[in-house]
Amino acid sequence: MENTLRALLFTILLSSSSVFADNLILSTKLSLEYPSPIVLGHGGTYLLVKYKNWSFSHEHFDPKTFYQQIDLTGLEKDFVRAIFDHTQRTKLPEWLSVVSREFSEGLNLDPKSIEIFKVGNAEIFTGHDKKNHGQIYIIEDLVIHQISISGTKKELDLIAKNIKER
Amino acid sequence: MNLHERQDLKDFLISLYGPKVNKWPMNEQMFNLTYELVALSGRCSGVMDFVPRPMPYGVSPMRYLKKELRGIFLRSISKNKKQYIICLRGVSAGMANKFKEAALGM
Repeated sequence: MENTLRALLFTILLSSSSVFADNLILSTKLSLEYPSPIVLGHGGTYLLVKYKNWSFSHEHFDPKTFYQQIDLTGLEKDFVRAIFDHTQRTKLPEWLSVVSREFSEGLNLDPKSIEIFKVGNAEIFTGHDKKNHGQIYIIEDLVIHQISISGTKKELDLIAKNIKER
Repeated sequence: MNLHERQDLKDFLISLYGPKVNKWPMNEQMFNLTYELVALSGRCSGVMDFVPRPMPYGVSPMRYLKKELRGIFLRSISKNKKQYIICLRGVSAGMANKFKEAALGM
């Protein structure tokens, strides 16, 4: 009986720990709630959050280094919008439209998976490649966040739906 | 990998992932991921010429490729990176987490 109770208590503790959520402050206006990971890694400019079968990473989009030969400063918001929304490409200079198309094709996102929505004033863009990669871009006034997911569409949605206003 | 091969690999990866690559170890895992990246980017015309074929499934490219061929592969992608960067950038974004994990030994 005592053993059964111990096993039950252990199971409850184990299952409850898996629903604990951690909070990542993205900016003064946004935060991200995510399940407690197995391990966290910090690579200087990025944060890597790893689970048993999937992971996600967060870093800021740097317009000066995203392409080594092209400085996207001032154009970065339009560039990101055009990755997910093809109609935005007509508003871009032709060269940037080509770059955006190439990048988008390389990501190979499933058009049906693409979602664009707002959280407060932030624009959120998400998409998944149907295999094991997803992308989330968050455009805020002063910064663009880039979240890469190595996981399923379900895991992409888990992260995207937990971007919240502070 | 010798010093030149590690530098070629680093130059190529910097062009894709930026200055953070300076802090990444250039080892067998990085080479294998780079090989996988180039092989995945089949849509970039020309770049596939750098991928020696056939490669048996599941083997480590680093161990499979003869030393000379490995050097040629690394020299080629490093030398031609400007030509293929636009095409490879999207594919590399999809593989970013694999590289980031490898960089941290995770």
